[in-house]
Amino acid sequence: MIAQALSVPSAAERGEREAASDEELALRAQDGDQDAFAALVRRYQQGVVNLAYRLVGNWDEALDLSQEIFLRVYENLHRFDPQRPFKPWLYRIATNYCYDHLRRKGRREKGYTTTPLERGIPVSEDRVDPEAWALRGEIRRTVEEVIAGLPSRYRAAVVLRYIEGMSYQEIADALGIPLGTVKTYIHRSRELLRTALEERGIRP
Amino acid sequence: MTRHVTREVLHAYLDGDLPWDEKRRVREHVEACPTCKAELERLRWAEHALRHMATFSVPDTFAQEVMQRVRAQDAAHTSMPATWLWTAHALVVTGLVLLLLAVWEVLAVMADVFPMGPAVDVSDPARLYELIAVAALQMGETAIPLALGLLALGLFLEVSRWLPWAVLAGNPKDAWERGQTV
Repeated sequence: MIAQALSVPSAAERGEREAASDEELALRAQDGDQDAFAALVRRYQQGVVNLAYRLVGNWDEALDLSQEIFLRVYENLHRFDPQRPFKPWLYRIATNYCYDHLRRKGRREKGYTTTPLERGIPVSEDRVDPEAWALRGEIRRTVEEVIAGLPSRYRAAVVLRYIEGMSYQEIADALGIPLGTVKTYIHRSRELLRTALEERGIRP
Repeated sequence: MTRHVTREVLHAYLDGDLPWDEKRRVREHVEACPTCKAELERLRWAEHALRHMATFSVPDTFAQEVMQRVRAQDAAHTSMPATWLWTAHALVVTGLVLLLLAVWEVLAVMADVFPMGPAVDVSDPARLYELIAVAALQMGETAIPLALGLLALGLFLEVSRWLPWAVLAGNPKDAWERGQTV
């Protein structure tokens, strides 16, 4: 272990690690390879932090919570079955941890009252088409408001679907709910947004 | 014209969740029906907006902080290497088996000496002591101490799993990190 802490991965090693599948990395992390776990953290930090933020509604809290989530994932790595996909397993821990946190704070379904954009949190530009968004700030606001108004289960499904790009089946596994329920959550959310956009006279 | 497409089916169509014949029916209907076409467009648009919902950038230091805590935690929990643990298990099992065999053997010898228990006829003390001495020499003096020794070593290794290794090693960096996170 000391040898691991001292060794600095070469660029080649690092590149190879970035190309490895989640399950391979998890397997290596199970064998005590901390660099493999670090690669998993880098791969999923964006998704986990965004999920936590959408669920708890406070940025600093979301960052702290996400650290705890990754620590919990690390502690439970020995329980992960590398034959199964890593992503749903990770997000199951993440969502459960967020729900526990909210339950402890006793405000599970309240969600956040102001939308993220009003809070001036830096928005990642890599997924956003800047021109479209610059022109259509109103769409963006509407999306944020609709998401903020969703029950937390819906919000979790929406984040996993649209930020993490997970399939319905993966989301069902992550949230521990039936596939049909996931579809209902996504369809309803889509429906709500469609109605909200229409009500404000925002057209494509 | 075919019948209107329900909301539910439109969603499934958007998700690519329909069998091919159903998909074709929807496509053909939507092309011919302005109402359904408009409906599909609105849903498509909502889908597009959701796909481009804001994601928030995670600070560059995030992964480093996580790994620092992982290392601190590892150091705090650091147990002995797994091979030691297996050695401990093996020692305990071997010790127990040996002890059992030795005790069994001694009892068997004793049974020869006292066919119906020690209360019955100890007529020839010299012969009796001789037999016991032989039994003790054979089994007791070699096998039992050996078994007890193995058992003791194994148990010590088993127990040492719970010793605070990081504290014993006195790694100042770990102690510092714990101070930071507590």
